[in-house]
Amino acid sequence: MKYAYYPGCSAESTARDMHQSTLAVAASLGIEMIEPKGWTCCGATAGHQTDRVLAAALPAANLVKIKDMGLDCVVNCAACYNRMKVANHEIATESEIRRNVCDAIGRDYDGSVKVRHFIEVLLEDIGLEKISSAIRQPLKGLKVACYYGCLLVRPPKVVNFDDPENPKSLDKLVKAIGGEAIEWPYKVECCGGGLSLSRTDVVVNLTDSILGMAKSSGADCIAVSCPMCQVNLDLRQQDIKKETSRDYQIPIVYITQLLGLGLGISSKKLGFNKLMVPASNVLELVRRSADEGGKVEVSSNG
Amino acid sequence: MRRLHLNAGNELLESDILWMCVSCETCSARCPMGIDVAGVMDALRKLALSRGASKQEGNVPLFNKAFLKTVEVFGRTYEMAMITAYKLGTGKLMNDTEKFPTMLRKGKISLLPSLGGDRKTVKRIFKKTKQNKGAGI
Repeated sequence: MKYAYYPGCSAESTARDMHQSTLAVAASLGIEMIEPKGWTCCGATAGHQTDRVLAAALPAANLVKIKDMGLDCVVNCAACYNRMKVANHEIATESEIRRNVCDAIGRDYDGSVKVRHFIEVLLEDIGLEKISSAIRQPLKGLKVACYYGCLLVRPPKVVNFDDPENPKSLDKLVKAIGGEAIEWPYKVECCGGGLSLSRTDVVVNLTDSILGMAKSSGADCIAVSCPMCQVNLDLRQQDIKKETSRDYQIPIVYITQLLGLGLGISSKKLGFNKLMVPASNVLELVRRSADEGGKVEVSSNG
Repeated sequence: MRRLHLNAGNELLESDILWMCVSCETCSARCPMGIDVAGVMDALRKLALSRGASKQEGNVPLFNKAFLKTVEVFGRTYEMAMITAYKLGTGKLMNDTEKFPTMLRKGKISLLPSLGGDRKTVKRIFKKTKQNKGAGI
């Protein structure tokens, strides 16, 4: 299975761990990921708050390169995924946008490249059965709050990713790894996204309520698939402690990091050392699972 | 939306609400009348900027400008330059500085920009978009 993999800018900075774990998981499951040569920024929130043509042209410059490769585009950053899908939708449905975008990128592009999230590839192309059978170290007993945030699921008509109010994709993957995906009500709440630097007070407030809900729902960790959610929920725990004296210490891990652990990939390769709140409880569980001989516990119960 | 109905447009354009909205799209996804509220917010922000009516606490337009400038120059986001430009512009120099050494050590932020992107096309996009400003799309 071969895809054009668009890493996005954060793969080179705040989300190196997401990038590393995505590539490690892909390699382990036999998924070939090829980076389009010379990929550039998708424009993110700043782009669409500034100019509609700019916001569609920046993703289109990448999509047209991927069209030349003749492959589907796979993205793991929820923000890039969202911008690529919205750009495709606008180019395909609004002739004036398309004309201006083509003029800006200097190429003709019709919005036809298929954009997929890495989770969609895992669930639809690989399948849960194959993933479950590849698990060597089940994360049995790990309670995971799956957090989808905004950009994966909204706007639902354009991204068309799972159920926008109660998505289950991450939950299914957690179960396949042997963990427990807890029921909690803040799956698709907003963490404050791009306001992290400009309105830190707002982000501290929003992340405080998400972390509080995860904690009171009994989560050992929160699984995400968006670099902005990860940074806000991970980095702002120390600010929340300063301002409210609530010290959550909940690790915020990428779903690809959890999956990688289950597949038997080393925590270093998956970038666990990059988390601000250490995932020591998760790694301890994996060590215990390995000591008990991986699948032993599961088969003894089954 | 109510303020727009009441023709209180100017009050709205000066309001911090426009810049508190982070485009999470929950309103658009849940609106029973199918209004794309997040799209309206984007349009209002552009209007506020073009009329110079914008007054806001966090200076999001400056953040956006700093972000896009690094994309225009380097083809990809360069957080060090973006954060420096934003901090210099807002005077909030000391915010978050205590996190910086750890982030640098963990490789969560890069000292140098990434230069692997197709900068030529990105420069062309910015040039063309600036030329077409006011096309009314």
